This record gives sequence, C-alpha cells and structure tokens, in this order.
Amino acid sequence: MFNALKRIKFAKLSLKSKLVLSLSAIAVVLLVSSIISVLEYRSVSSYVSDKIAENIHNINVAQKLANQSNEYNLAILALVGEESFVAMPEFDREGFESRCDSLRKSLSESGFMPLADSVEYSYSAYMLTSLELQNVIVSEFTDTQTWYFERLQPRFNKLIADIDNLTEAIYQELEHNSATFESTFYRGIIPGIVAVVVGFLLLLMLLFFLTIYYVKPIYGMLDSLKIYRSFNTPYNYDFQGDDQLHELNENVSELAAENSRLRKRISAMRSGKSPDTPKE
Amino acid sequence: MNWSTISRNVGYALLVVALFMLLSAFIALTDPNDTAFVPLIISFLLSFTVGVFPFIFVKKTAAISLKEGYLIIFLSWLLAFIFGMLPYTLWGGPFTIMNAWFESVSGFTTTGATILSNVEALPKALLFWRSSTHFIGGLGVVVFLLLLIPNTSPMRLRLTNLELSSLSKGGYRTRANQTVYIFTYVYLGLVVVSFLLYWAAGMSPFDAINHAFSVCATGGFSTKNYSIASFNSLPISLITMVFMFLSSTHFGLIWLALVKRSLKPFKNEVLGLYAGILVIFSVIMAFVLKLQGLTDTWGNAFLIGGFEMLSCASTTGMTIADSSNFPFFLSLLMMLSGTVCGMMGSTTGGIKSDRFLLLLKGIRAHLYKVIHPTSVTEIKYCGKNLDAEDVHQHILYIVVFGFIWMISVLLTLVCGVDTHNAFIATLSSLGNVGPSVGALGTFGNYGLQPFFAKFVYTLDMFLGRIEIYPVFAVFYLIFDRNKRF
Repeated sequence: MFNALKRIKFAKLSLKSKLVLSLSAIAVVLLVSSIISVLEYRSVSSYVSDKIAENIHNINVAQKLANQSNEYNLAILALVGEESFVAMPEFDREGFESRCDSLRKSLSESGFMPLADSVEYSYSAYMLTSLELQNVIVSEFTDTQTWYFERLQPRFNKLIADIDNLTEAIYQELEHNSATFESTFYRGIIPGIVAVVVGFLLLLMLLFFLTIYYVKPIYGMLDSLKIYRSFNTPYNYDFQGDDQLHELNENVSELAAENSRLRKRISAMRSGKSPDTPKE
Repeated sequence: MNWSTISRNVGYALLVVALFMLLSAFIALTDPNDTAFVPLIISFLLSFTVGVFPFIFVKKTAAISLKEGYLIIFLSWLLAFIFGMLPYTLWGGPFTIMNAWFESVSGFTTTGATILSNVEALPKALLFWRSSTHFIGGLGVVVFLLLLIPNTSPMRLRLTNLELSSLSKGGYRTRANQTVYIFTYVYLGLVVVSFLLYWAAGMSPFDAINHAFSVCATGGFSTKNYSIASFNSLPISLITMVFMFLSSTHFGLIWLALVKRSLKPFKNEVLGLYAGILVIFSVIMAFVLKLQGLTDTWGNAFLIGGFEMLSCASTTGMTIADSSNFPFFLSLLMMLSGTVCGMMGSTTGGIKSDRFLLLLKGIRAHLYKVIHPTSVTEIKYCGKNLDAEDVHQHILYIVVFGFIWMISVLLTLVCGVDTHNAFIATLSSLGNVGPSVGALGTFGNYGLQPFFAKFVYTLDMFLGRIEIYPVFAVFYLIFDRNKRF
C-alpha cells in the first residue's frame, strides 16, 4: 500500500506552469476565503440584526401592554367614586391577549417564557377582580375604595411589575444580542484573517522559491558569463532544476564551450598551426 | 540549511492533515444539519494548498542534515497544530483562538484534555476531526512522512533515528527501515479490531470509529460528555481496557507475539514492570474506593480502580467514573502511573516504564559501586549491556522532564491556577494524560482556565509528545554560535 503511494510521480512542470500554478493557488485561496468570509459575515450579522429588531419590537409591545393596563386601571379608579354603576370601562381584551401571545412566542427560545406566562396569569387575575366592580358598587356591605386598594390595586401592581420584569428581560436580551453582534463581527472576519495569513505565507514561500530557483540562478549565470567574457575561463555554472531555465543554462554552457573551441581554432589558424594538432 | 527540502517534507505532513480534513468534510455531507462542512472544506483547501505548494518548485532530495531533520520534525508538528486548529476557529462556538489551539494541540499530542463543556453539541464532522487529530498524532505526523519516503533514502534513516528513540526501536528485532512499517501495521490493526469490537458491543459505527481512533492513540477524546461512562456497558468498558493496555505496550512485542508467534514478549522485563505497577496501583485504588464508600460493591471497586488506573497509566484519559470525588491521594497515584507507566514504541506519553526501569537499575548499580568501589558494574536492559552514555541519556531525560514540570508549575501558579491543579494539570499535560483533579477531573474541562495557563499546558503537551529533545535541539541549533552541526 505504502509502496504504491511512493510510486506516485508529479508531472514535470514548465517554468510557466510553475508560476501560473503557484500564483493561481494564492489567488484561489484569497478569493474563496474572502467570498466565504463575506457570506458568513452577512448571514450571521443579518441573523443578529433580525434578533435585535425583534427585541425592539417586543419592548414596544410590552410598553403597549403597560399603557393599556394603566388606562384601564385609571378608568376603573374613576368609577370607584361613583355611587351607581353605569358600565364597565372598555378594554381591548383580544388586542392585549394577542400581544401577550406574540411576546410569548418570540421569547420562547430565550428562556423568558415563564415571564410572559406570569404576565398572562397576572392579567387574568386582574381582569377577574376588576369584573367584581359592578357587584361592589351595588353592594351595601363592601366599601368600593377598600375593595379597590385591597383587592384590585395589588393585582394591578403585580401585573405592572410582571410587565416591567418582562421588559427588563427583553432589554437584557437586546444587550446580549448587541454583544453577540460585536463577537459576530469578530467571528465573521476570522476566515478573512486566516485567508490573509495563509495568503501571506504562500506569498513568502513564492518569493523564497522565486529567489532560490529563478533569481539566484539568473544572477549566477550572468556572473559566470561575465567571468567567461572577461577572463576567457570556461563557463561552468550549474544549479538544480528541471525546467526551461535549467535547459537555458545548459544551452548557454554548450554555446560557451563551442565558442571557446572556435576561438581557439581561429587563434590557431591565425598563428598558422593546425587546430587539431595536439599541444606538446 | 536547505529550506526547500524542509518545506517539501513538512508539506507531506500538511497533506496528511488536509486528507483527514477532507474525510471529516465527507462526514458532514452525510448530515444535512451538520454545520462543520464549510469550516472543514476551507481548512482542507488552505492546508492542501500550503502543503502542496513546495511540490511545485522543490524536487525530491535524498539526503538531509541533522539540523534539517530536527527542523522537519519540529515544523511538521507545529504546522499540524496550527492548521489543525482551523476547523475549530472557523466553526466558532466556544472555540476562541486559544481554545482552538488548545484543542488542536491536545488532539495531535494525544493528550485528550478539552475545553468543551458539552462535547455532544458539536457537529459530527467536527467530532470526527477531533478524533482524527488523535489518530494522526498517535501514529505521529513524522511517521506518515516516513511512510512516503523511499526505503533506500538516507533521509528516511536519519528521520527514523530522530523521531523514534533508541529504546523504542529495541523491541522490534527487525531492520531499521522496517520498524516504521511494523509500528504502522500494528497501530492500524489495533484500530480496525477495536472498531469492530466496539461496534459489536453496541456502539454506533460513528462512535465506534471515533473511540477506536481515540483509544488506540491513547488520546482520550470521546463523542460523549461522560466518555465511556455514557455507554454504561461492561463489554465496552472491558474492550476499552484491553485496547488501552495494548496501545501502551511496545508495538514490536505485539508484532512478535502475534505474527512471529513468539513467547519472548511475555518475558520482557519492562512489560513485567509496567504490568506490575499497574496491578499494584489498581488494587490500592480499588481498596481505597471501597473503603471510602465511593463504590457500592467490590466488583465495581475493582472495575473502576482498574479502568481509571489503566486509563491514566496508558495516558488515555477515558473514564467510567467522576474523579472529582476521589481523594487527592488517588489522583496523585493516577498521575504517577501516567508518568512512569506505558512502554516505549507505543503511543503513550510520559517518562515511560523503560526509562523508569533504567533509573531503578542505575540507582542499584550506583549503590553497588558505592559499596564495592573496585567492582565493574554493568546495566543490563532487555538482555543487552548498555553503556553509560545510553543510560545517562535516559536518566537525564527524567531530570529534564522534572525540571520542565517545575517551571510549568511556577508559571501556572503565577497565572492564578489553584495549587492542586498547578501541580497535577501540568504533570498531566507533560505526560499527555489529560484529566487532572477537581474541576479539571475526568468529567471536567479546561475551558475556564486562564489564557496563559492554557498556553503553558499546550507547551507541556508538545514537549511531552515529541520527548523534549527535538524542541531543545532546534533552539540549540538556531542559537548555536559555533554552528557545529
């Protein structure tokens, strides 16, 4: 199994292929990671933004519940001084209950459901007690004010306290979501940071390989050619490689050797000796 | 120094890491609700690209210098840690940068300590990646590299000598270039057999493969919050015990016993010492558990005592009981077993029984020499006479181990870690055991430890896993002014 793995041979790459491959790798890493980073950030931040909007909506709803309860309670208080019962004050029960339900549903995930339940129970207790008003006014044995302050007012206070608790809880959730939004930003940019770091690493590697495998050999070839031209010494520069640059170096080496031979032949011909005559 | 050769060989290690990331991403594809697919596939792309990049330019080379060999080992592990943390970091959740680093180092070094309070909340693919880090680390990042280098390459021999210590190569009785293959075959064999047995004992295939990876690497990561205790199954506990023991014994001995049908492994003095310590400590633990009323029956006392002691001695860290209730004495005994037990040539960490035996023999020889000054003392180890340099090398390792432990204790105390955990958690990390005491016990986690303390633990894990010297060697070679290497 392991021997089969060892037999895998990488294709011989040309100079152009090497450069294209390496630069493409960097480009792909940066592109893919950046796209994912942007998408990740957008999806998570839109989720948190929706949450924050929902929190603000819930705070408004809780405020409406408190206002509606206050108005109703004031209307009842106005009736407490009356000697005869006219009619119960109007109260939008359906609206109140539907707002409670919507709050309960939207808060169910956050663990605030018991608070919403408390509001509903306090509301039921308060409404049931408030319906006693007609009997209390008509009754000769019960003082209306005593009934109000001892029976209805404590229930009203409980209802308002529960609504306040719920509002406080929603505020806390809002605060938490705002903090999450900040950490979301941190999370969202992580893929981007990773991509930049890896891209930077790849660039450094590319720079290193270009220097080692291309720049240094070209400088070496130039220096050797300079020495060859100046001092007429053989061109014998060599380096590791399997691409066109290595081939170019071999060709230059052959040309230099041939040029040396030709120069020797010409100088021998000029001096009247046969170029093939071996030196003594 | 030839950085091109180094980069090419480190690239191999990254490709192995990338391969397991891809496998984990495939696991994510099996579950439409798995959120780890994107983090894993990005991590795969990044690791693969960086790993394959040197192959574009660098040709195969046969020879490396000592310095390059140490750097290849050091960088292979380090980059495996860094790229291994990508899936965690990109997934998010409880994984801050430090937590992801801790989980990655703990995984690759087969320590098995975690920062997670709720393991079961992780997506399956990420759980598989956690176990895969154990699998890769158990075999060793560099061993994967050795498997891909031609047998005839001088580089292979040099890296084998650097990665595997002289004692660990002792039990194989084969040619040096075969050692790596035998190690790999035994390791893979243990993983396959344990997977099948776990599956047969009632685990799901997913849990079975994860636990097989974890137990055979003597890691400790589980797919369940309460580790093996979650399964509440005697057969699963017994299978775990058997494989924890086998994985902590010399793989060469297992090879000899199974393939060569030899009885020699049973006469091995290191194995005798390891098994002896294990039995004595387990019995002590069972008695303490029963007498302190921590277990209801003697059967349970021996099961829990044996399991927990074996778990620590093999540096696995799996558990069937909450160690936070144990007396401090037992926790200390467990850590002691984790430090001095386990054998060379296995996947365990710590000082190991081989060095402990040499220490005992060294002390005995020294005492004999003191009483009989003119005598010639020799230390015999597994039937061979060892020269003084060999013995000193391993005794020095124990001294350095203790010295690093002390420094780590001081550093963690400065970070604000409580005294018990400063001593036990650092020893546990350095020995690649995993659990500590109290909140860091078998059911606990390192999530709430101070930031810098977590970093100290990870350094200890790294040093413990690659047996200290390669890390020191790299720094020595870098800062050596005379450049003698």
